[in-house]
Amino acid sequence: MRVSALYQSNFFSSGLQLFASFVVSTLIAILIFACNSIAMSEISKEEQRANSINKILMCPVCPGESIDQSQNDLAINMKEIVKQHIAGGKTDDQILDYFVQKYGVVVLMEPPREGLGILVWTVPLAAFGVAVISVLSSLYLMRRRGKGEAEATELSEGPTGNEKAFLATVVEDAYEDENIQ
Amino acid sequence: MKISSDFMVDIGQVAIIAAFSVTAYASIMAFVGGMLKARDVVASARWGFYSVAPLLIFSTGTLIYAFVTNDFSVKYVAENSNLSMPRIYAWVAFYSGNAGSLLYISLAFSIMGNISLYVLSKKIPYTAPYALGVMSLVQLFFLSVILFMANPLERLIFAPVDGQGINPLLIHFGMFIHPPFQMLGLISVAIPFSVGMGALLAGRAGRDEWVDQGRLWGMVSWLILTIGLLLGAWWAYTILGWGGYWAWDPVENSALMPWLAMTAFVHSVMVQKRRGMFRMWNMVLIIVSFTMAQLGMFINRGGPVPSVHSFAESTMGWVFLAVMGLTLFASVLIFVSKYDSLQSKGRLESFISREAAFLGQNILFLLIAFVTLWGTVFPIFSQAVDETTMTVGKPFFDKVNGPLMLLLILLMGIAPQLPWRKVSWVSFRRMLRVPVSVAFLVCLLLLTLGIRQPWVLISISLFSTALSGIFQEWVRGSRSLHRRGNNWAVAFFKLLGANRPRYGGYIVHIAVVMLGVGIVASTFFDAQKDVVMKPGDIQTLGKYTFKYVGVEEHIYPDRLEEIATFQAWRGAKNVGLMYPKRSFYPEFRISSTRGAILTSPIEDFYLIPSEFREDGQAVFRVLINPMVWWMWASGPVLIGGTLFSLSPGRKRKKRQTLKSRIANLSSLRVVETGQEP
Repeated sequence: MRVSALYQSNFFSSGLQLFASFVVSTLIAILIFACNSIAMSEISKEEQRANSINKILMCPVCPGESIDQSQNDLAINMKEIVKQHIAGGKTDDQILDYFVQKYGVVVLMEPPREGLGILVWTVPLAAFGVAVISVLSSLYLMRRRGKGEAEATELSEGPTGNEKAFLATVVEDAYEDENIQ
Repeated sequence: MKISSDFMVDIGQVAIIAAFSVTAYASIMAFVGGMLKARDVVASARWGFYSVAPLLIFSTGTLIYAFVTNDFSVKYVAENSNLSMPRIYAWVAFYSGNAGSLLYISLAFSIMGNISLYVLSKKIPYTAPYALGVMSLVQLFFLSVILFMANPLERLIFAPVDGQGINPLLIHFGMFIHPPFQMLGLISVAIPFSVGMGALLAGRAGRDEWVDQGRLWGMVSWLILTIGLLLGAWWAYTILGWGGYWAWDPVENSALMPWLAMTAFVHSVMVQKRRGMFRMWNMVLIIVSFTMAQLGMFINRGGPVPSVHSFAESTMGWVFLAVMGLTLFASVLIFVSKYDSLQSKGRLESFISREAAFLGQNILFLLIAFVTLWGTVFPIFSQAVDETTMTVGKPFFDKVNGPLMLLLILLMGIAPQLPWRKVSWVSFRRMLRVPVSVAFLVCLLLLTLGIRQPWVLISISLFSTALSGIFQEWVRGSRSLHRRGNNWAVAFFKLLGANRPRYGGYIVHIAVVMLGVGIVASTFFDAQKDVVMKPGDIQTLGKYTFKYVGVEEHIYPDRLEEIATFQAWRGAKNVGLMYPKRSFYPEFRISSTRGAILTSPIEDFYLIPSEFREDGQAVFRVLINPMVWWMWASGPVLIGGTLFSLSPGRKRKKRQTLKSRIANLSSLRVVETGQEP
């Protein structure tokens, strides 16, 4: 009965709730404090835009690094061009297009969602679908297979090897709970 | 001095040849002995394997000696060091190139392999010979590559006067520990893999006896991989000079993938340990993990993907790829041939159970690993298909893996609360009451505080769910112990000691939340700007005020260093001087930047020099990165939690449990049926 008692008694007393919430909200408070302390507004809209564009443009001569990351001269030049284009009133897309025309799609840190590039986005989505279906179906199969076995063992007398094993785990659980309670 | 180094290196070479022969012997004799059940033969193979470590320690010693004595007649020494290199960096230079890193891997594997082999042959004597055989084959591969393709002790006919020098980006304290941990982490996956394969080959996988050892070595390997990843992030943050810590670079990805698979494994192996289920699945996971680890070594060693990590670049990547394919093929063959012995013992009773949650978690981890792999190899794929070169970088991985990781955090909040076997809807709902309401409250709190980014709201709410679940259980348990007369601290530690695997896991989960909060805060609330300053100028960012005092130039034989001096204030408080610096290495035409970081748990104030101009002006990048401190702080918590979870406790009580298991078997039927809703 101990095992069942564990799940049916009401241990969600208000004290516990308060404690858990307290711990969590302390964490959140620190986070908020951190976020509030930053004057994002101090940074001009133009600079914010430039920063986000720099993060999605790759430096053509230092593979794998964005121009935001790279210390290379070319990257520094490209950053300057981004700044000038923003000052010249171009939109983000126009700026990206400019670099794509100059260096090819390789300059974009994420592939365009067209042509072959669409595959890079759709394959993970498909994989997610396959994963969900396979988990659900394998859980379903595992449960059905288990049911058949359980019916067969119920007819026999005394616990079988299988039953002993899982009873043992239950005992272990119960024993641990006993230690705690 | 020179002559003795020559002599030493030759002896070191002989030691490698001896290690190779002995390993070849061990790999054959282990299997023969296992099959014939001949103890002496197995013992002979085992002692052969044991002897590899001292041999490799010796040859490594001779290589390091050659570094220390500047013996440039050794090709590897000439390529990876020079006269101006600080002697202490001989250790880093040892594994900074391809050949040396292979020797390091072989050495590390032989030492760790010896420790695990000693334990294995005591604990699972029937499986151990086969595990030894698999381990020897892995070692044999590395030693043959060292001997026949990339020999670190190879001699040049004419010794150059000076060497080419070490890659300057490696001159950093972190380099003493990050690469050794990372490489050891990757190769150590071979140990739980050998245990699993050994159990299959011995025909004993159905007995679950490999599970404890598989879990132990799996967790050790996982821990080393985790430390390697964290140290790598820390190194990138402090030296690569761009204010970030993770760039989804191909080599980072290749280290992350085996970590993801191993994380799935160390969780799902618990299901087999406790419930006798997931036997096939655990084998699949360990095979996937080892394949991923090999893939990591392949990508690191002149793989086809461009990366900033091309330290160990060589053309032998393809050998690694071929061997990876071969290993995978052989493992699958063994798996299929022993398929029947892997039928599950327990049965799945409900979709809402810890078993089911574990499976969901496993799949999510594998899915993230798959997405990472897909993004990493996509450029090769697109090149092959229509010759367009595409880049798959950080934005892609953030967008696709980010949400998947949040799903994992959601599971991390709920799943540990779920009981094994099944739970009724009523108890399930009751169980979720606190975590869900806390998540809701936190979300509300964030909204009132003016946070609007949906991803921040979701992730912080999920983190609080996870934390409240953990604390709820801890408070509940310690309170009941407290009521029985223990003081709170004693009660808490007694509780933790009562189920170390579980509560150690909780501590690791807390570390994951710390890591996650650091990532979310620094991703969404960072501030960055570039400033042009001349000496004497004062600028501000946020509550920080900083004055550019000046720059000093230092000329060293190998580099030119420009060290800027800043005076910084937080609010009105003087927080001292900061020294961001930039070094230029003319021989390598590389400049490396080291930011100055003023760190606190709330935020890092980060100054990076970008450019020093002739006219005395200089360009600096100034960043405020919130809560990055928490990411580094999560490391020790995570290590502590993992070790706690592995620590053997309650040995005597376990025996009592065994007795009580037998005594209570019949009475427990009542408990079991009593649990039915």
